[in-house]
Amino acid sequence: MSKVTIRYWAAAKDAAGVAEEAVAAETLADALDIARNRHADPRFAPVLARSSFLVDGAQAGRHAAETITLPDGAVIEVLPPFAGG
Amino acid sequence: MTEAPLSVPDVYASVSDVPSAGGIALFVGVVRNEDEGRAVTELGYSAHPDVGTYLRQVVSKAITQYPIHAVSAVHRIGDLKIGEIAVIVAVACPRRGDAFDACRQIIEEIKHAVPIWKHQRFADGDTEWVGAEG
Repeated sequence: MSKVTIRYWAAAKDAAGVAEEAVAAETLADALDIARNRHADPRFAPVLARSSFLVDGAQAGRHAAETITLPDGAVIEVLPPFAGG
Repeated sequence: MTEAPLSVPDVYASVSDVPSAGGIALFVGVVRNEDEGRAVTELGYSAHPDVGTYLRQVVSKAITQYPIHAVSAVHRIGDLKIGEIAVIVAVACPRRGDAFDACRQIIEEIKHAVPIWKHQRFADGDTEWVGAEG
């Protein structure tokens, strides 16, 4: 298990109630499952489902979370849909 | 990206001193007083710390696709009131068609590919993160 940090932005931060948290997980999918189980706020899961993710600053893509393994100390960033302009 | 009010004359000046450009397209996005029929009183924009990198990528891509001789794209963050300017894109090209097309592409990609978030406050006191909720 790697110890990783999940950092939440904007709507995800509001729904999580924290800016970041630590989890122990092997893959991005594992980490997101743990986060989903941890947060009871009904806004959390829908926001997570609409978000894209960065792992150590690199875009993770939306569909391959099981295949993305996390090194110890990795930082996952949860980016809700963008709404500039 | 800036927290300071945006100035159309300043942005225009930054792209207008280009003798080879025959057309300058300028897009100004302002805070509207309603969204899907609900009265909006205030908008808060926030952004990821790396937002400048994403914004530069959008502009760089347009530069590879259009004959852009000068370009400026600025976005404000923080709390904005109705009518305040949120974003300005200015593109100078030899001809107007390319200037319009490049300007349009840059503003559309700012909306979809740059990590900026919009928090809307309605007249009834409700709030919402635009695009992030059900």
